[in-house]
Amino acid sequence: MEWRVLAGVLLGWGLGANDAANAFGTAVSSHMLRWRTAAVLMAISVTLGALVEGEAGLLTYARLTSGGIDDAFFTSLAAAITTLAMTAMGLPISISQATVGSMLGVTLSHIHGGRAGWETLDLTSLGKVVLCWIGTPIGAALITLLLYPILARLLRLLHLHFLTYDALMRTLLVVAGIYSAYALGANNVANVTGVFYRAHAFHQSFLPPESLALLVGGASIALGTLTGGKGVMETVGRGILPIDAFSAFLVVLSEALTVHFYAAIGVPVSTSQAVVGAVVGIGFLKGLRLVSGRAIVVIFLGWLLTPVLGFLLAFLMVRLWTSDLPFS
Amino acid sequence: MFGWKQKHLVTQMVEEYLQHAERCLLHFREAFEMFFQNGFSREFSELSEKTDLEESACDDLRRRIDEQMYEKALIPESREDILHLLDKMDKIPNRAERILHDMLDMRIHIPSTLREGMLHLVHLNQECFTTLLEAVRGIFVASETVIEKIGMIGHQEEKSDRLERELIRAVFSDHEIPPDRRILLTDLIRHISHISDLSEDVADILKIMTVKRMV
Repeated sequence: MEWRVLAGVLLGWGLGANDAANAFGTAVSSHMLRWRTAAVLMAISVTLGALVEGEAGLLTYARLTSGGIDDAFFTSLAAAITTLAMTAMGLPISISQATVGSMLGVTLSHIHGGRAGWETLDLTSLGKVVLCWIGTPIGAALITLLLYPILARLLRLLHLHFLTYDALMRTLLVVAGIYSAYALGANNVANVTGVFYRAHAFHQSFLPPESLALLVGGASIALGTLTGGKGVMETVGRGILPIDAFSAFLVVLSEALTVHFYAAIGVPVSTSQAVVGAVVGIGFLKGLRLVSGRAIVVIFLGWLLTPVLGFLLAFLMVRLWTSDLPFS
Repeated sequence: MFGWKQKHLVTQMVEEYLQHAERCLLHFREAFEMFFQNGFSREFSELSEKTDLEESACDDLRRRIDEQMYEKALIPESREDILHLLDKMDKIPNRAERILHDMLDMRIHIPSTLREGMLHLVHLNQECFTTLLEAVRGIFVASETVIEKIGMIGHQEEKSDRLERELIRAVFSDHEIPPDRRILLTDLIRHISHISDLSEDVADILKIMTVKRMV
């Protein structure tokens, strides 16, 4: 296997460390589930999701990029730096947006340098991806609006003892967390190894290339959760969802359903954006403003800046690499 | 999933606690009734002792519930809520016990002009506590009446506050009561009325517990 895949593994590690909170943050921060249990469940589910349903995303990314292994490396490196920079600035990050922005940067850099033609840019697939980004928070909010009244009514009919209610909520949060981790693996594995799969980095193996790409991608995300997810899960989980257990369950479920849907159509999206959409949906139902106006501005800024920064970094990296400078 | 056996055991222990607390406040009320009939009689002392015993039983039971909660794998949120509730609630039997001790130790004499009002204050506060017990029981049996009971506690506390002020005014307008006894009586009135304040504090915790689980 090509060593440059490590740039993708690094990106996957960051993805696992950051996005674990979206699946199990509430359960862990409220001490309903031990961190170790959550991390193991997350690692298994995310790898399983990648292996079982991750292929569609790989194929989408294969259509968006046409470069070789160097391009794949620069795409992943630019996306990883973007992720780090945005996190350092305290802005919300979408690794999918960073990856697609970087991919576009690489492609346009080649077109600009005359090494590729405009036909290498698949605007139809790009348009589909951007539409899905917009649809992610909206979809999650709509699912929340639809599911909340139905499930709340069912729950009320059960007339549960409050200890049983708490136990049920814990079970539901764990089940939704597992599903969310599965959906994350299925949806986001393409961000990790999609560009390398297209660059044939997994072709010299005893496993079929797509299976190896999915396995490496899934395992990288799992590794990120196991080694770097604890702090984020304990703090972010508390910060994002200062709401009741039932609403928290609905948020995780809506996020998972949304992300799983996009996994099925092969478009990697942001789990964090789905969570924000679902929280806004809960706020709308309860007549509360769970996300402040300032937070919405910051989120939008993050969404806009991420692909732009990824694009610029990748563009410049490829320009430098292919120029006549002594190190190129 | 939280086992039926665990749930049953915790519910049973809490119910046992509530029964002791209920009897504690009932003896407290009977002690006052007895006091207004016969003064510092043997029966008054016996009822004060019964109040002590029930208060001790409440303490023991609360400690056992604490241990049970930590030994069994109860969900932290349920555990914290129950322990916080009982911790606050336990102040009420303590208060009842202390009032009777003060009366016995300080031999507080209550003028006949205040007796009716004081007895009314005792009844009001004991009834407020009874409403609280109903609300606590409600949360354990998924009753929809919890919020209604919490509202009732608020009204009872307001009534108690009004009566407390009336009684204090009466103490200070009665020129036959010596100044040192006025202070003792004012303290006694405030301590009795504090039972409904404490009940309201517990009701606030119950309200949060209910709202958190309201869908």
